[in-house]
Amino acid sequence: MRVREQFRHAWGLWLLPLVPFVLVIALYAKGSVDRHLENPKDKMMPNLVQLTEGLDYILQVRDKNGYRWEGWNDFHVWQIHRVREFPEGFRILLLEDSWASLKRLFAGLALSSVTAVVVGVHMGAFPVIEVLMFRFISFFSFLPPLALLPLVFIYLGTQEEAKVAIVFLGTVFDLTQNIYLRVLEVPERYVFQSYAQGASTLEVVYKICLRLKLPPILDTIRLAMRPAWVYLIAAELIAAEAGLGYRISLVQRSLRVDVILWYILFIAVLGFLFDVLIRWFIKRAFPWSKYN
Amino acid sequence: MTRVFRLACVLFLIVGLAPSWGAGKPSFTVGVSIWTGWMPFYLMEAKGLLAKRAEAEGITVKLQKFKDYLASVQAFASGSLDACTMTIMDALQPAAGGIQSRAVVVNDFSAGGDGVLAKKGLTMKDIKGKEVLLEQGSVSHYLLIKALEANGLTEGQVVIKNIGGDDAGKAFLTGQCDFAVTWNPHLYTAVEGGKGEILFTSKSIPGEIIDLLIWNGKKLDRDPRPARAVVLAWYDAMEMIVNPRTREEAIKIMSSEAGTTPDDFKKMLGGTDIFTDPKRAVDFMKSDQIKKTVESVKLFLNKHDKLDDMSAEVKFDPSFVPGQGAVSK
Repeated sequence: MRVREQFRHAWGLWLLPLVPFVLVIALYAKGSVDRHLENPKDKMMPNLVQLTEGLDYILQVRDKNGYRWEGWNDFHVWQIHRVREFPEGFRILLLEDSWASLKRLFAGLALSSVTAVVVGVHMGAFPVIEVLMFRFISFFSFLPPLALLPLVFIYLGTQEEAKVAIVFLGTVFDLTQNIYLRVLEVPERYVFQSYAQGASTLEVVYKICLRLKLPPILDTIRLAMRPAWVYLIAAELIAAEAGLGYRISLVQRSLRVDVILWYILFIAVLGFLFDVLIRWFIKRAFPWSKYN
Repeated sequence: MTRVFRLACVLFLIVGLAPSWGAGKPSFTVGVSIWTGWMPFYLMEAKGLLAKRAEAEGITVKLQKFKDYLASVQAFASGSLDACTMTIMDALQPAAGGIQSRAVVVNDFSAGGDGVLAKKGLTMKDIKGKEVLLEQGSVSHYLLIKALEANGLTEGQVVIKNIGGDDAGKAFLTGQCDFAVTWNPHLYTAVEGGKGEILFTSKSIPGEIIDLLIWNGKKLDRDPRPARAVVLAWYDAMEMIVNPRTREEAIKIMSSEAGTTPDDFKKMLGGTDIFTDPKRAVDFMKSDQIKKTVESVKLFLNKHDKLDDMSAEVKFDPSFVPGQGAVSK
């Protein structure tokens, strides 16, 4: 094999990516088997039976008080038409928690993205604003949002605002800096040529700089989803009634690792899905961009 | 290259052999976390009481201090600790996970140290339909249900919002909520600061919120020496606390370990009924009341979807508690 040699083996392209996954699963299985040999009731590394119980716990249809619906035992996924039999105001933990978390995640991320684009683009375009904001942003980007948790919680209370604020604070400074750098990358000659051809300042900022850099900006936002998740999960530890992070911390108390593992997997799947979605969108929406 | 390789080999040898150097005495680990009723553990380590008792058994016992209580329970449930301090509620969880929970010391029960806080002027009747901040599945949750029952209400009539028990207290103190269930120091801080009133405390359910030292049953059967050492050291610490000549020093040490002042710590002690008298502890461990409490806690946990295995047990083993009357009152 030579440096940068193309790899195009037909099976290899499919099988090789699976290897690390299989390896991790095998390691886990080994650990789980060992622990169950030592203690058959072990809950810390659940086996397959326990994992199905965990799945059942998060998917079962519950009445509005959280108790299992009587019909759940003889209900099968394909009998979706039986939805009408579900108790009034029924709940499914996984759906309820994902919905609660996603709302917070996107509210926080939307706020920080909009702020970051507004501030970042203008910083990149106008040196006055750069002077005004640069020190501030780069100073506060070092502020660890998790350390702010107790403060946010005192100032904003235990409602949704506090959780959204944590996601916002966790992402906005880095996003702004990134977007500002992207806009700085707009070649000088584009700016001069636009002006030479009679473009107004507004047009140069929004039609040239912003538009040209929209694909990498979206990509920065895509990458900001990772820290956003981290802060969201942490924020849900403060006063919540639903949410993925909330459920994890709640079932921790009863050592339901079977439930925790599914939630962790689900968070990874959600994150991965949104990642793919945004990448696909960038490709579709900006076919002209060299960035792809 | 060869030199690097040789160096690596030597390093490997050292790393590989290092653990066997300390292998002279068998070593055991007990997890503890900060709570008024558990501060005597910190005391017995600080005063060398534990080291002395362990020495007599020919072993070493390490106290592993957890900042996060739940983490200590999880470490115990995963089997990596020999013993751990926990409340009676959390002692059932490792048992459901196949780790036998055996209580060798009953440390204390909450007698006013946990309570339902409300903004001034509100009564238990006003709680209906309101938001209550507390840590779900914890002693606070249990206490709230008892408080509601005592006032002819049910859990469905309030909105429970989950938050760490300490945070519930802080949220109340900063005026974030009308009702919270929490523990000291938040209770007396709220009352002293005129921020709220205590509507119901653990004093009304004496002997139900119990703190225990739980030993891993399997490990206890294999080697009872560390349990003997720890239990004896615990009563040495009790002796220090009841003896008027050493009491002030004991309180000073415990309060500094807990990160508070001796005066505040005394207030905390007021809400905690520590079993300083071994005879009383033994009687309590053998009593029907404690069995009833375990059943009541089990039903509570089961109802809240936190315990499926109703065969989980906490066994009480007073056999390590020293002869009656060894500690004078």
